[in-house]
Order: sequence, then structure tokens, then C-alpha cells
Amino acid sequence: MNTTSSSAQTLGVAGERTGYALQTEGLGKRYGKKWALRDCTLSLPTGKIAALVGPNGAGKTTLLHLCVGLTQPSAGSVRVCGYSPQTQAKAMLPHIGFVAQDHPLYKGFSVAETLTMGRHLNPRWDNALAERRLRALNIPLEQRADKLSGGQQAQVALALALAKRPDVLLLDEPLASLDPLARRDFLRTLTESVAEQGVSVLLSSHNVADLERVCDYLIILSASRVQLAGDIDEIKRTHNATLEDITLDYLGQSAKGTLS
Amino acid sequence: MIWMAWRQHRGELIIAACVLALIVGFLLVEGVQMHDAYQQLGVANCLTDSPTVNTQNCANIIEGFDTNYGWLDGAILWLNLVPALLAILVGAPLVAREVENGTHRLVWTQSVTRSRWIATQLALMLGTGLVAAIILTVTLTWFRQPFDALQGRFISGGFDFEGIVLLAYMLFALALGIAAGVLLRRTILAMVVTLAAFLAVRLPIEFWLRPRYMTPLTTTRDLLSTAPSSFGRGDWIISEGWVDAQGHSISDYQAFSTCAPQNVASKVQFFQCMHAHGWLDNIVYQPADRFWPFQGIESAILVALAVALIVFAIYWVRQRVS
Repeated sequence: MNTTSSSAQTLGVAGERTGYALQTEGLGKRYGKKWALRDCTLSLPTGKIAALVGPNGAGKTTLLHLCVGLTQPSAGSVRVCGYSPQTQAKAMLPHIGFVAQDHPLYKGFSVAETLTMGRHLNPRWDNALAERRLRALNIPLEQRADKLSGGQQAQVALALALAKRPDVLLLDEPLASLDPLARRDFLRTLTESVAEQGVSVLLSSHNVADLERVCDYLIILSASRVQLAGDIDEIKRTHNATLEDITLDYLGQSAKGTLS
Repeated sequence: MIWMAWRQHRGELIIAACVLALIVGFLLVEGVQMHDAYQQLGVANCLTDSPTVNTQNCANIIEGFDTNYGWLDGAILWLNLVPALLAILVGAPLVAREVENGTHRLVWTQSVTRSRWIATQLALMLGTGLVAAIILTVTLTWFRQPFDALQGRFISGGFDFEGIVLLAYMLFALALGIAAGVLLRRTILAMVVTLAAFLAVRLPIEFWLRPRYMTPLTTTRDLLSTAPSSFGRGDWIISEGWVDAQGHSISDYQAFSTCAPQNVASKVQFFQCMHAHGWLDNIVYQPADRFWPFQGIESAILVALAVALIVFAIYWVRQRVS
């Protein structure tokens, strides 16, 4: 657990002061008259692997985009490692790793060039780590990104995010486009890396069953609002039910279809 | 970040460099021939005001030169579209393609801020555009030397290519393409809008605004007068017509129906008739020495537009694209 403590130190003054990987306060985002996310107050302790669960359109992507500074909030505030993604982007960005929905990569870049990009754009870049990871997965470095399978692309995107040596890793629906085998591989890589690097994780999904083995913290988002947030063990204990049932309870009958 | 910008755009930039090399190569080959012909035919001697010039012979020489090479003067006007084409090739896709592929979410969440990302991309694009514009300006200024001697450089081709306006058009076009891509988020749509908006600015500027930067001068001349005119070769004629002694306009119809009724009058007879009526040749023009003030005015307008578009693009990228 030596790596964990060293990464906790690199959280910086702000991160140490708060002790939270992520904090939001009345956070909201409005598009036109419609609120995509509303009145979201959350505190995610460092070191957790948190699942952000909710049906499609619940505001998961909006929340993640607000956290990584891609979107400007309409209300409230958000802090990642103690930094505001909007006003302190330069300080905040080296501390986060983000894999957007559909794990975008530059199609014309080879895997090796994708890593070169990471090296040029990130001060804390760990090239050996990324190469080791991709070699272990048998992903050829000279291959163009668009010639890789969907699962391999997701792995490259994850390797890119992890080689930044982030303190917080945010993943937007990382499993959505993967087949069951690729899902298993992806989650295995994720858990291994988290154990090695001691990084806090927030990953969104509309399918809670995938995440139960991996996550120790649960945030349920529905109808643009946080319905439940807490340690999974504690939630299970107080509700005395399976995670899937608890989630379905909170999302209501209407959401059942999307959560099968 | 520089590596990144270059790696991303090297394909388009190499294509642009090849096209530019073809254009410059064509101009050099054709230009050498044209300059040789200009020398060998002795066109320059015909353009002096010396009384020893054989006017009839010179008319033939100039006509011969014009028949063989005059088309080039018109053909190079298409090069006015080079800034728009470069803007379509590299400007419009700059942000639009990122958004279409979702890669903006990848690159903007690395450790480089969006401000620095857009600043580096803009610097690469605008720098490349300026280099291309300078190469074209230098080549065309040399190429057009014979045409300058014949017509001056204040007319379209000369004004467009021999000063600083091509650089300004390049900045404007690229800024327009980039801003269109940022706003529209669709590469093809941004390309179409870039071309349309470029023409919507370019054509009115040349044909409506440019003659009006400064109040033109007017000179009237008796057609039989041999006194030297204040108007000379190299001045830019805005309009030409006939006026009577009081300065009232005489229509072409009135002049020709009076002085050349059957279309058979010789030039001398026509001049004598016009003289007899007291009708004068009236020329409204911009003198040649206004070339650089006009270059400055037009460039200032375009650079101002470019700056506004770039400020918009930076603001929009930083605040509104996600």
C-alpha cells in the first residue's frame, strides 16, 4: 500500500485539506429550460471506487463533464482534488484521468502515437506504465486506433487515462459498448490499476450488476437529482437487500426497463 | 502541444503545401515565358511617353502580347480563392472534426488547458496561412510585372496580390473557417458556410467598398487637347463618361447618336464632333499613389474581422463547447 500513501500526498494541499476526491455543492446544469442535473450535493471520499448509476438521461454524463471541466455549471460548485475544474483547470487537469463515453481516440493515430500524445500533453506521464499495460493486453503499439476492436480501444483509452498518474479517475459508461468478455477484461485492468496506483474512481453505468464486484461506493442519480449516495456495504446493511433491488427501488418502477 | 497540433494536421498541411507548390511552379514556368516575350517584343519601349514611339507598330505589339498572355491576367484572379480553400481544408475542421469524433473530450481533459490548446492550434494555422500568403504575394508580384507596366497594379489582380491584402484575406478566411467550425460543430456544414461567408464579404468589398475608401478624383479633358493630363497609366478608373462644359452628364447614347450616327465615323471625326459640341471626356479615378493607403484600409478591415472571429472562437471553445 506504499503507492497509495504516496499518491495521497500528491493530491496537493487542497486535496489533503478536504480529504475528498470530489465534492459538489448544489451543483446544477440547465440546457435551455431543462435541468440536466439539479441541486447535486455529493462528497466522494478519496480511495473509493464509486459507481454512478442511473437510467439514460439521468444526468450522469452532465455530472462527469462538470467534474472534468468540459461543462460550465449553471448553479452551485464542484471541486475535484480541491480544485475548481472551471477556474483552476490548469492545476486540476493533471490530477484527473477521464475516459469519455465511447472512449474516443484519434482514429488516425497509432497506439504508439496516442501514447506520444499523452507524453506531450501531461507532466506526470508514465510511459513505461502505459506500454507495460498495453503489452500485457497484447495490443500492438504500431496498430492504428481505428483498426483496434472496441474492447481494445477502451483499454487504450483507459491506459492513457491511467498513465497520467491521476488521483481521480472518471469513466463515462466505460462498459456500455463492450461485449461481456471485454467488460470482464476492462474491469480487471481497472481493479488491478486502482490497487497499484491508489486512485479514486468514479464510473457511470446504467447497469448496476456489472459494478457490484468492483465498486465500494454507490451514487444513484435519477431525474436529474441524487437519490442515494453512500458506502455499498453500509447501504446493503441498512436496506437488507441486494444492490440491484435497492437501486431499482430508488429509481422507481419506470426505470426498470433500462436496468435489467 | 506543438507535436500534437502538427501530428493532427500534417495530412492537410502537406496537401496544402503540394497545391501551393503546383501553383507557384505554374506561375514560374508561365511567368518566365511571359517575361521573355515582353522583352523580345519590346513592349516596354511602347510604354514610354517618348515622341519617337511608333504608335501603330506599338498597338500591334501590345495586342500581340495581350493575345498570347492576356488570359493569364484573368486566370490568376482565381487565386483570390486560395484563402477560402485553405480555410475549408484546415480551418473549418479544426474544432468541428474534434467535436464530431468526440476527441475534444479526450484532448481537453489532458493536462493542457483548453486556452493553450486553442492558442497553439490557432498559431499553427494562422502561421501556416501567413507563410502561404507571403509566398503567393512574392511570386505574383514578380509574375505580374509586365501587366503592372501595361495597366498599373491598382486594378483587381494587382491590388489583390501585390500588397498586404492577401495576407489579411488569409487571416480573415482562416479565422472565419475556425469560428464556423466552433459554432456549427459539423465539418461539412462549416466548410460550406465558410465558403459562402467568405464570398459574401470578399465580393462586396472588391466591387462596392474598395472604390469608396477615399473620395475619387475627377478629370475632364477635351478630346482634341494634346496637353498632358493629370490622369495617367496606373491610376484606377472608377467610371468614365462624357460631360458638357457645365459638368452635366452626357449619355453614351446621346454622344454616339450625335457624333457617330451610323457607327461609321472615324475616331478623329468623332473627336472633332465631340469637341464642336463642347463635350468633354470625364474620368473618375483613384490615383496610383493611393495604392498603399487603400491596402492599409482594406487590410485593417479584414484584420479587425479576423480578430473578432478569433476572439469569438476562443471564447466559445472555452465556455460553450462540451
